[in-house]
Amino acid sequence: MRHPRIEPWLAAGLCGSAITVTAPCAFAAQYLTVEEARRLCFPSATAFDPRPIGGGATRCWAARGPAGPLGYALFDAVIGKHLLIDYMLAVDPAGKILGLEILAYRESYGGQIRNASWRKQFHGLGPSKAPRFQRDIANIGGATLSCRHVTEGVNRLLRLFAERIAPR
Amino acid sequence: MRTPLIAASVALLGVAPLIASDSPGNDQLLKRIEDLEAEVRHLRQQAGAADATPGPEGSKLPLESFASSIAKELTLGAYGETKIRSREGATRWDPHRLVLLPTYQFNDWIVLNAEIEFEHGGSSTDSGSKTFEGGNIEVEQLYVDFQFADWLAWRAPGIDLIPVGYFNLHHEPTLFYSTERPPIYRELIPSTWFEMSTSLYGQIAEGLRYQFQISSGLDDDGDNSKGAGSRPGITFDGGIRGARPAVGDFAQSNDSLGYAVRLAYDPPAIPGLGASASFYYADTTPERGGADNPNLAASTAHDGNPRALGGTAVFIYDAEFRYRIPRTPLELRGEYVFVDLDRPHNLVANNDGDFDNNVGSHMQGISGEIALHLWPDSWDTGRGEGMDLVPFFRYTRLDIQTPYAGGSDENEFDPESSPESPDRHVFELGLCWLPTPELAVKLDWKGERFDGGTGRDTYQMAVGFFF
Repeated sequence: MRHPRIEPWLAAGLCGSAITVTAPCAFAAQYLTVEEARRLCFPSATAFDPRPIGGGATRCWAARGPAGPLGYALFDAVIGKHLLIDYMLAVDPAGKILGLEILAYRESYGGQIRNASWRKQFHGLGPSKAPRFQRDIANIGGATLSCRHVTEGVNRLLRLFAERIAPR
Repeated sequence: MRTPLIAASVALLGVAPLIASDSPGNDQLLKRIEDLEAEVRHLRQQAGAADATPGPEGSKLPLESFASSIAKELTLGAYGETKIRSREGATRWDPHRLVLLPTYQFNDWIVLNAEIEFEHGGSSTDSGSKTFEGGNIEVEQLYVDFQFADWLAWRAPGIDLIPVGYFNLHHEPTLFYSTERPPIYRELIPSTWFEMSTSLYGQIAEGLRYQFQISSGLDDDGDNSKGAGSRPGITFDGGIRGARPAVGDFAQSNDSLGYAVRLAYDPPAIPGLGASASFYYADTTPERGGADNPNLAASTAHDGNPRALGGTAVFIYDAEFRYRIPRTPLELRGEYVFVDLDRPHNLVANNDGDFDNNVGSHMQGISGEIALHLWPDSWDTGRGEGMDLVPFFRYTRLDIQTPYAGGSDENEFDPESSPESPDRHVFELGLCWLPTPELAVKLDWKGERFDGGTGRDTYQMAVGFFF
């Protein structure tokens, strides 16, 4: 008598389905809220005051601490390969980059841009030296479009900041 | 954008009753117009206020209205390339491929990806069509990803690329500088290599990613499916390229599966460096049903009888790196791949009475590339912003055949000593101009020097894009 054979395909499908049903449905794509990202960018801030900046969905907040202005947090989104990447740029009052945080990454490929070492390349760049992809900002293989588009997005925010927020 | 539409709608709603009513006086009309103007002003102020209002800051979906209204829509990317190639006195123009890349995000953790490819101008059964007869239309990727966490995502059964090497996964034309993909990605890694499959993948440490995939196994029955296609299986001059199985309609003739593992590492301490190691295994033993299997009969009939062959298997080991050295023009790439054929005396090619296609016990290839990014910083402005000019040189050694390893065709043919040997040195020298990062114009020379003493030179040009 032959025993019924379990098809590997079926086993793989069942395993995947079991994972889907039982895994905690934590948002893999959503890493930080706006509030959490602002706190990461300016841990000592006591207040974040909204500032109109224009530019569609772009948002800006002035971070204040006990000793005065700390800088600005700018929120925006760019398309990676297909889907939106939400990110926040922190700059000092003069526009120099203090930090870059990825709030949401939704695509199947390219999530490596969340790695701290890649984001750290932006630190210290700003009005006098805008970040340039493949020159100041190294690419990550398999995440080329995300790397390039976030770099372009950061440049856009720097320009918006210079035109509409930076003290004249 | 929204305000004029609202204003127009309000105006229409407001004016319509006026048209229908009996001849109102001028004062009435004037008052109504003033009311509408006030309404438009009010709506405009509301819209302006909404633009300046921050999103729900404590929400898990920041700026939810913005993200959900755009990200949930279907998006479409594309890549493609057109080529002109001149070889051995013949020049040919080829609309090589146009690939459409639809993606749909069901929610924040479930995503559908697909690739629809038109090759060589598409396909046509109309004899009056000018479409190249060798063209075809393929679905090269079709899968749903469930992203549970950074370290774990499940790619549900669908069509996906086999994760071996770098350029089988990332083969868009702006990501390499030559007209054609690197030579290793033909006989040894048969790019574009896509199969029905399912995967687990994720990032397990900063910069370190994995993918484990189960797929349809390679096929060596002398055909590529039960009912369609005519791929030759593993052969003397085609490597494993002809062993890719059929993709659809329950047509694979090999019930065994292929298993692939790929580890990719981008060292956090060394920006610009990326490397990966891949391993693939497949039992290539097809169904060998005897005389009622026409493929088997055709492929093993040199002595007049279908032959029941034993099992075979393919192991592939690949290691590669890419390094764009920051703040210098220099970029380096290298790759080594080894294909081990287990029990090659059972391969169809070694038992079919055709002594010109016998196969050895293993295959291997090694490649090194140097590229220079010469667009000067001072020109990286205005129309020159984002532009690049990249001369490159690549050397590849392809060792497709090693001494013959048995089978019923024994002693009739030694592939390694054949003047027709596909073993060769490949030299590629060219220039790639990227007017924007999404567009590449390529010009190069490819010189192939075969171990049998012959040579072949190809001069080629391509225009490729990816966005």
